[in-house]
Amino acid sequence: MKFRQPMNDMLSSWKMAAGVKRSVLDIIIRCSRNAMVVTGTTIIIIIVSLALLAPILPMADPTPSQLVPEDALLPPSSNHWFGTDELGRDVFSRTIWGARVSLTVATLAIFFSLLIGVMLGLTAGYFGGVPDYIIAGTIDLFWTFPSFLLALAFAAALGPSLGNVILAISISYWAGFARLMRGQALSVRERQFIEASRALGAKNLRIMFTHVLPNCMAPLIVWASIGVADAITIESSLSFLGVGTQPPTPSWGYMLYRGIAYLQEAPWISTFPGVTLLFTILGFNLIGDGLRDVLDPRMKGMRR
Amino acid sequence: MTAERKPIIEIKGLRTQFILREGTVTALDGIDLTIYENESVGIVGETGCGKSMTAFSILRLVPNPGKITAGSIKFKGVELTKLTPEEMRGIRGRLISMIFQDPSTSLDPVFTVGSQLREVTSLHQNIYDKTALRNKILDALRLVRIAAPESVMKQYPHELSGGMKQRVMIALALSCNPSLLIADEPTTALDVTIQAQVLKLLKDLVKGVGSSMMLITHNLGIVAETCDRVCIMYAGRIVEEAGTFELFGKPMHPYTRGLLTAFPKLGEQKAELSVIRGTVPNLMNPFPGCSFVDRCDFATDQCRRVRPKMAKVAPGHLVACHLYPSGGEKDNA
Repeated sequence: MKFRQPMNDMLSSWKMAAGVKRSVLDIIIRCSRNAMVVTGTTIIIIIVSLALLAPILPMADPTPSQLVPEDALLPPSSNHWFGTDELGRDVFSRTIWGARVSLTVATLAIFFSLLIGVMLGLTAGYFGGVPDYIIAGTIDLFWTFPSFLLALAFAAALGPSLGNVILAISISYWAGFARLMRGQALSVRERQFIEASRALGAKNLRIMFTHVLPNCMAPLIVWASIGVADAITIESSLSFLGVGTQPPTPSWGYMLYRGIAYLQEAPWISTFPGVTLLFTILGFNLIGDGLRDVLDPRMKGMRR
Repeated sequence: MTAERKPIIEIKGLRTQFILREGTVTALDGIDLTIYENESVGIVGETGCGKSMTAFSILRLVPNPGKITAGSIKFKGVELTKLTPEEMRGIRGRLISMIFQDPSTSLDPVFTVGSQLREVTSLHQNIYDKTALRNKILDALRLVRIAAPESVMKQYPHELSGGMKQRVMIALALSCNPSLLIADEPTTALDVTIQAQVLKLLKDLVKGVGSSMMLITHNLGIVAETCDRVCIMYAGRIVEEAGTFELFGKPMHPYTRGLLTAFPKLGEQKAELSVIRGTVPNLMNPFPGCSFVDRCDFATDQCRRVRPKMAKVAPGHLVACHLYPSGGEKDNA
């Protein structure tokens, strides 16, 4: 599981963080040499641009008000690239529209988790003492539950809606960022430049946000891109179980679920959203893994 | 010789203690130290004798669970120990600055030299105009004799050499013309050729901007080169205080003498360097006598029972040792 992975390989030396700021151009050049980042980015760019362009692409309506029963369960053809589902809706169109939902939910959920995680982790790691005791305890409490089960419980309790799915994922995911941030802050605050800036009269808040946080960016970026992939999985799983995105809004998870009943006679209903989901997650994971190599100078030259 | 000058900082009976579960460690035990305007004072002593702790106490940055438990620190007549944290922060960097031992870790690795200087300068001097700020920073870099300030400004700390980084640190510390500069072993992490340059620079700058300097070191050679006055510290106390020439010419305290003989001299053939036997006493156990007693060749019974006080043996020369009757007698009375 991603969570249990030894953190060490993600954690940075100062050079890793220095690499982030050193020069944006330099990073881009190094990324462009990394096969994983290039492949991942290509996949994600294709999927994101299709999702963004969905309203203006010449596609069938993903949620037609008038269902055409004779179109049901048509196999892939030039008219319906991915075939049609049991209600006669175009699977290609629904897959693309589903990407909008999944990507939005995942991005927002990770954004909020990152926000909560960074704030709490930074506070705990920087100040230590009582705040750390309380926050680290809370992190551990959330950490105890598998994040998916936690999200499932929250989504079920809050009732199914897009906002609640985002909330549920954020609640179950922030602890990871908080823990990462806390660990980083703990080590950065002991570094001498923090003491030096205190000796030069800087306030705690200033030290936290202008010195500690920027020195922790590299692992956060890596974790966030892998986190988006995780969040997409969680969203799809929730929709699959019926506590996520509600029909008729197209969603990969729900499409997978509906397709099960027709797996024998119309395998395309599940297969195509499933494969798209697979590639999206693969894309984000590749970006995350690749960035880790790019941002960590110790990995330099090991893999290109 | 310093009597007519105005004191910048007056420390009286400063005691800094670490209250631990296992007991109380007295890191500083009654430090009296006065630094006058335009003066460089060297604080010399071995590791753990409280040199750095004196500096941190002045800045009120004693790490937890340390506390200043007694004494007063007057900075230009203002009692630092009674200031609120807010007021204290206004003093740090603006009026009292500090340079640290290792320049490679004292600069934030993710920002350019220019942006770190900009941060300090704009905050402390309230300069927000971009060109004015830029000129100020370039001036600060030129002041520490950095050859190409424009390009150094845009560089990150890891692109600079150790000596350059220490210059940048000095520029940071001096950017607001502080009245007191505390240099905590500023040259320990640098190689010898750079050491001399940095020391000369520090000396010139301090004279140039009219600041005072407190130079913490364990290297007597550095003191000889840079300071007007020297304080020898041992186990949280100052044991001898004298003008630099006086101290090197007539060391009084057995510890000072030990330090001086332990220092290799050029051109002298010696099979072995003399050492001061024994180790520093545990600061956790309070002890009535002189803390150097176990390592001293001249220790008497009196040394074990009575703690010697600082006493004048010559103008501007103070020593805390029973060997010197003018000091010892006063104490016994």
